Amino acid sequence: MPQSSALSSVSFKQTPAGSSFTIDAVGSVTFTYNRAPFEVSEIGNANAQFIAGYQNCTAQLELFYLAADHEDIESNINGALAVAQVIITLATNDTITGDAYVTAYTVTAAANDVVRASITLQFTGAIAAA
Amino acid sequence: MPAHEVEEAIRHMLTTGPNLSVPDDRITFGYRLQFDALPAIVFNVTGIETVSIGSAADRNAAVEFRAIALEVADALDIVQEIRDKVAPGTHQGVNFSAIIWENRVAEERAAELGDEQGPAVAVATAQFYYTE
Repeated sequence: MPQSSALSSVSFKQTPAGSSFTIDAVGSVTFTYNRAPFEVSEIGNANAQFIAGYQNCTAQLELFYLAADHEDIESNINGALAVAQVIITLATNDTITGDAYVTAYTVTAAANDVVRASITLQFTGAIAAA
Repeated sequence: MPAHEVEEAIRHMLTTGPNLSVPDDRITFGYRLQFDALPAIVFNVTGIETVSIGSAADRNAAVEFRAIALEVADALDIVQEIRDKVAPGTHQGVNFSAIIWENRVAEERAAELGDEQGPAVAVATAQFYYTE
């Protein structure tokens, strides 16, 4: 059954210090979870062979940028050594939780538009979906 | 839900503080009274989109302002007054965060039915970003 994104939100908590807050003005969030396999084929094999690889998760946030609202995320890319806890909450209170670093922060200002930012989060460790 | 809708909030934005050269009772939503004097301002909200996720979502309203006056220059001056007046802030409980002006068109006085002279109109469109 499809569910509405109307009540979805993304929260961010700088760990170990810092309090959790909901990221303002998120236009869209894309969460990507992949696990590329390692090829272990040998010369002489008739078929390609693989073993399971590592999981790798990233998330991409598109938001309407305001420095006052988003400076904690910005500071994560500047100097944070600890990960931040990121929780994506869906309308039915389903959550995707993980620890992430901000790895890219792109601010775009164009004529006849509001200032937008695109933030890339690299997750580390396990992801919990509940 | 807010106590007021965005249409009311935009009119409030235009009618509070220093007056425009157009009296408040001639700033109307949707249509102009047939025998009303000029100049006048008519505005319309032509669409509202929800543009962010979350319970207090940002919304984007496309707004069209029509400044109606006897001369084109006067209509354009009124559009400039509107542009100067409209600014981010809270009106009637609606919090406007950004306003982007997009387009402005001046329509020359046209001959109307019976060849009488019609008024000049300047049309300006803007995107209003707000939360309720």
